[in-house]
Amino acid sequence: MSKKYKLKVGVQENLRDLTVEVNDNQPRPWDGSDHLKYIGKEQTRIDGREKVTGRAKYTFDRQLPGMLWARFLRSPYPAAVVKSIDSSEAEKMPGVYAVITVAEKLPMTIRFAGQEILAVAADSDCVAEEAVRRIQIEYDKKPFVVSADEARKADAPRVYSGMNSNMRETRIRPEDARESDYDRLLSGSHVRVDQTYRTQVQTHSAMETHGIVAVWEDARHLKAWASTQGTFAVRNDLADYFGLPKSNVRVITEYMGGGFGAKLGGGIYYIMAARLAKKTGKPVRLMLNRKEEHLSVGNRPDSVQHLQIGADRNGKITAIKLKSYGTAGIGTGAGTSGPARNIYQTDNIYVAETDVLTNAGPGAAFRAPGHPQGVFALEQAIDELAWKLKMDPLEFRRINTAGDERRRVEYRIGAGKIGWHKRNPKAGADKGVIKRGLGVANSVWYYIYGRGFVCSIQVHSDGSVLLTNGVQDIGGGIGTVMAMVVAEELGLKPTDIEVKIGDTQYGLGPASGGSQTTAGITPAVRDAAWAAGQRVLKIAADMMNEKIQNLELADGRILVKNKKEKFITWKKACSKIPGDQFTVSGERVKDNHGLQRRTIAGVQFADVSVDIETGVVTVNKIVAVHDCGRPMDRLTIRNQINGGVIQGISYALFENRILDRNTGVMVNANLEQYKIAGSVDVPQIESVILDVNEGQSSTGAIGIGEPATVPTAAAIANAVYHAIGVRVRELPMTPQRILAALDQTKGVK
Amino acid sequence: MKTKTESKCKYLRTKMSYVPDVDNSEFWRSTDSTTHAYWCLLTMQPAGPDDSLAAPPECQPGRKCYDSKE
Repeated sequence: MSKKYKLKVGVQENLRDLTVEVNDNQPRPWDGSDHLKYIGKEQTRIDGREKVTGRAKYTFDRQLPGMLWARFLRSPYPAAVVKSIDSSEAEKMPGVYAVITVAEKLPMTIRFAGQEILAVAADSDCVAEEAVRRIQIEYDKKPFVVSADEARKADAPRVYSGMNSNMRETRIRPEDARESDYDRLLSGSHVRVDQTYRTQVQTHSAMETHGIVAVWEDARHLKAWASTQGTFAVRNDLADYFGLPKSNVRVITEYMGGGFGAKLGGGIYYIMAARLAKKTGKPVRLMLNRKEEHLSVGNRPDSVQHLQIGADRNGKITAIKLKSYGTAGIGTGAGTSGPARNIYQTDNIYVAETDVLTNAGPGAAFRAPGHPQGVFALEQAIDELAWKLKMDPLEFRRINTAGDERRRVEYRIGAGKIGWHKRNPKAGADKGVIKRGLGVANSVWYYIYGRGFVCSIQVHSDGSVLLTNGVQDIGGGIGTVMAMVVAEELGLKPTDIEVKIGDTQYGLGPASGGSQTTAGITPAVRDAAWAAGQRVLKIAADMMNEKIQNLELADGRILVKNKKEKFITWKKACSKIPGDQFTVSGERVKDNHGLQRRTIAGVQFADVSVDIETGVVTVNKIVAVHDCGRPMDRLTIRNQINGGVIQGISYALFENRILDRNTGVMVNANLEQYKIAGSVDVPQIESVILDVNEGQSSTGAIGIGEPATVPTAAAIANAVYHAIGVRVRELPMTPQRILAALDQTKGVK
Repeated sequence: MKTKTESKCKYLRTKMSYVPDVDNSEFWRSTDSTTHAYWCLLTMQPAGPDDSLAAPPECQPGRKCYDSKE
């Protein structure tokens, strides 16, 4: 059975009516007419005190009685065959319990410097490290290639011996497209841009490194604490690998020190730790160090993007053609075409993407895979086109995204906050050594949510409320958001709600990838809370001799609507719960019929200063205007935007994995030479969070983690151009590159 | 290469393997995404047990290490 509700939906205050059909066991979706007490406001984290006082225990902190410490032995060579391993000296060392190899048998192929060969478990970290040093490996070194440009050459060493080339087959969209059709459109355009943009490899630098503590409770039951973005993902992979029922594997992530995609899904360290624990019969801790993080757990692939975009004399885009390649090392996933295909309104979009295999650590999902790269190229090319047309770059964007109300609002708000109308219409026009510029870039991401997530709520006779679900909090504060949703629905305070998450013994929760956590879990939370509220209202209705529909939950009370002096307290009603407590659940189901959102829109504006003598770029301010559906907790959303912007600045100006072309080894596998933005590099960040109500689920929430980092580098690049009048089409925009670009304008080589 | 290239090898993994969808929990298998990192559960690496690349077009029946879900 279902019910129909007429909702107020739309962007900000611009609301229209929409009728949706909702299952009987779900509440009326929150819409633009709902002014809620907690949802959409700022809520401090319910676990903030634990975190700042050090009481919060991360996987890194987990120590079990009798626990062993594990370390990997990694290849120092980028391409080799392991012919033999002699671990006899290590195995004789006091305190060494086990040495196990990654490969079942030798020879073993090595494809990148840092590849795992074996792991040692010992009774201390120092002993494990020393044992690794005492192991003798006989390598047969092979030719290698670490740059995508070199790897594309016909005579380059092959990363996979069975392949004819290091290039995977190019993927073209539309699949039946003829490139010449797009060339004709481009050559017939009033103006066109034809440029190449390059982005670097960015490695993951989460505060807590990847790792796990694994213990076999008996031969068929495995328990693990993991620093993961997906408790259930790790559980499933461990179960599948060891041939165990999922019910026999328990994964716990009480607190987690950040993850940007590489902690989603399995890792070889999970398997090796569990294998060592099985072999030794003891708990095993395998946490990677910072160097290992840079080498082996994944990265954002680099890219070389050749973009051609045409426009007519009115500023309407005629065609977009992107041909890109890049390397995810020994793996896949260097595509960049998402932004080119999903921001601007033209039917004429041709993309061709090629993965190039190199002898480097594998790529992994990294906060909006492909998108910061793609937007860096696309949004600079769009800017270049606008400048060629002598058109305001923001106006050019308005024209070509005219059908998207969210972007119209975002442009207006952002332009006002950055002072766009006061900018000098000429690029590089400032006098003096320090030149200031403003830039803008669009963000795009996608509305993703999984289904089948189940939240349980227990309400006890003392009025206490327990919410459980297996979802992990990767640092975004999802536990706080879940408490807010329950508090809103039950008329309690978020701090009244006991939240237990991060354990696969609770109901299925989403993995935190694709910016789907909030969109995936909050509707299930609200549906469970609504069901709990209905149970308590029924008890109260009997106690108050009122009809249930005349009652409402607010401020810890059950009140009679329009007669608010008549009430009983939440606790009093709960004291009559039969059998001391009850449990209800809510399940994430498909969005309401007929509602399909595809993209998440955002825009960022950058204000930068460029010192033309030193080449140093200083970001003065970022204005970030973002859509994330109906905002839940504006404080944690702002946290996410701040984090995304800072990571984007870091990507724009500093981060760069450097592989020595002569040895194939990463030369800056630390946080001294691999530079990331520090506090001194963080500008004023002004975030604006749109209210976009669509009534697609009971909460209307949509993600923000990834969209917030997508446009930052491009906005900075466009601001740099506005400041100095010269394009920098390669990341990171180091002082050296800025000075080189300036030199080119002077005719200096 | 077609982007729609289905692989039913039970050991193939990518990020989207962990986004459950009641109607179509295996939708990720039918697309060779250009931004997905793929790996093999048996090796936890982009190379499968046979030392070749793991990805939907490559993980097809006939490959030595291929193991269908069915």
